[in-house]
Amino acid sequence: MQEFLAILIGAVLGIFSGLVPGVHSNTITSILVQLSIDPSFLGFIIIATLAGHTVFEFLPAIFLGIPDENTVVSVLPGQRMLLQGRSAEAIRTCAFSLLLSTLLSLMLFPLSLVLFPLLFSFVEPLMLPFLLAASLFLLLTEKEVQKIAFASLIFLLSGTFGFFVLNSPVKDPLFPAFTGLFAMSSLIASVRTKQELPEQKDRPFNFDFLKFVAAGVVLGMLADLFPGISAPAQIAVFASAFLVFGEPRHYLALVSSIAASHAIFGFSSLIAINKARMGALVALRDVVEISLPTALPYIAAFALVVGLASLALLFFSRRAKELVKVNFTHFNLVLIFYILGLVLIICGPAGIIILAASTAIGSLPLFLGVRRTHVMGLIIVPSIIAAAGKVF
Amino acid sequence: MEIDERKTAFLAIFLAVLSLFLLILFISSSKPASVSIAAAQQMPENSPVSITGRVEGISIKSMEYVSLRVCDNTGCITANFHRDVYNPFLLSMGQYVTVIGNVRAYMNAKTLSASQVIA
Repeated sequence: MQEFLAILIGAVLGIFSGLVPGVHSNTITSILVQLSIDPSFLGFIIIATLAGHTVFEFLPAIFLGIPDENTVVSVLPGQRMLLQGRSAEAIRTCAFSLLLSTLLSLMLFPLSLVLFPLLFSFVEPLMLPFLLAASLFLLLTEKEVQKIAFASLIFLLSGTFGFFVLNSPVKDPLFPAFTGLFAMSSLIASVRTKQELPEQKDRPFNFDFLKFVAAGVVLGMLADLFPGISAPAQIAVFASAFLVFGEPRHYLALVSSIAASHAIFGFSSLIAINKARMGALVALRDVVEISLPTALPYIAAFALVVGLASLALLFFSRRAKELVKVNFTHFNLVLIFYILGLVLIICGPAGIIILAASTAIGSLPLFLGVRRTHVMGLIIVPSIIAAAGKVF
Repeated sequence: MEIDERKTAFLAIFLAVLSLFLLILFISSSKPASVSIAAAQQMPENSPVSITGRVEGISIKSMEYVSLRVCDNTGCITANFHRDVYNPFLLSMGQYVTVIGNVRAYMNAKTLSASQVIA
């Protein structure tokens, strides 16, 4: 059956985009839709790419762009586990949480179809106050006055930048913007420092993160009601209001669960309220007509690839000892030039300007010691402006 | 409970098998039954249908839309589709094709709005 071939192609593309920093599944999707491919075949490729990417994006988040913990305050939790010799545990936590949250999301999917229209009718008129309150909450989680000031500066700077980027004539402008904010800034920071990685040990660990998986599923579902609240790390910040992360594994469980749940309930928002909250679902809606019966095979394909890709991820966790022996400084340097080339090809010289500016903004949280999620002002501020435009 | 590699692999295999079963179930139920062209013409508008026949005419209506005349031993029907669905230049007269789509009624004649063409 041609669907399985499409799923296989998509899974491979998704694993590739997940492994290589700077290549988002949306980038691959935007290239694929330009090609003359049978729509239903293309639909399965798009969804399998999203699923493969969702699973494998955690690997470079743990192994690549490792900053020096002494000089950079905001080391990601997965990287902190790597620096403690617990990378295999970090990978397995992500895989287990992704699998469990996918199963839970599938079980809650029918309920979400009933709940979404009700919740959206309640939330839609409150979109502007909600986005303002969510932004304020994000900034206030920094707690110290100086850090709140730094975070506000980064948030507003990213937002102003986002407003101009989204209104620029550059093709696919979010690609260089996000690549600079997250991938490029981390890569440059890691090349500037020489970090010795300890020996990695593989130990079983306690399943003490069920509540983080459950919270991830609920938060991922709710995030599909709002525009601009889409990055799992960004959603996880809201969870810090009611969840205490005892250790980095809990945070990884939450973020992985949000990623899987956000994708599955993205179908609910598309079917129930006709809102596509993810790039892959926007592309899917453009190529095939989406209703409940037509969406079900794509949801099953997503779950299938999550299952198979998680098995592949486990293979990598076994190889964690060998992975840390790779000279990541050279690898990161090659990646920097590769990203520059990719941006130049896809977006042209203007894309390089966006990349440079977003890299500078993305480096600010690393050096000012605040959370990097504040750069999501890039999407949130334009969403606030759009929501304000509807109100006033 | 301790999480080791075996338990994680078991969960992954369980999810993969479950979703594979669901995928096969959803795909087979979402594909319309294959019928003859005469039977397709008797079906009400918007009915999902799959027909197989030989190409008896190809007309490129505009830069974007294609009209395909398909016949079997029970009759002929016109299938209309966007060029993104299938490249019309890859089709030839007399070639056997399967067209999946929905029945449309236009000017007292039944046509197909094709979502998939398999040559």
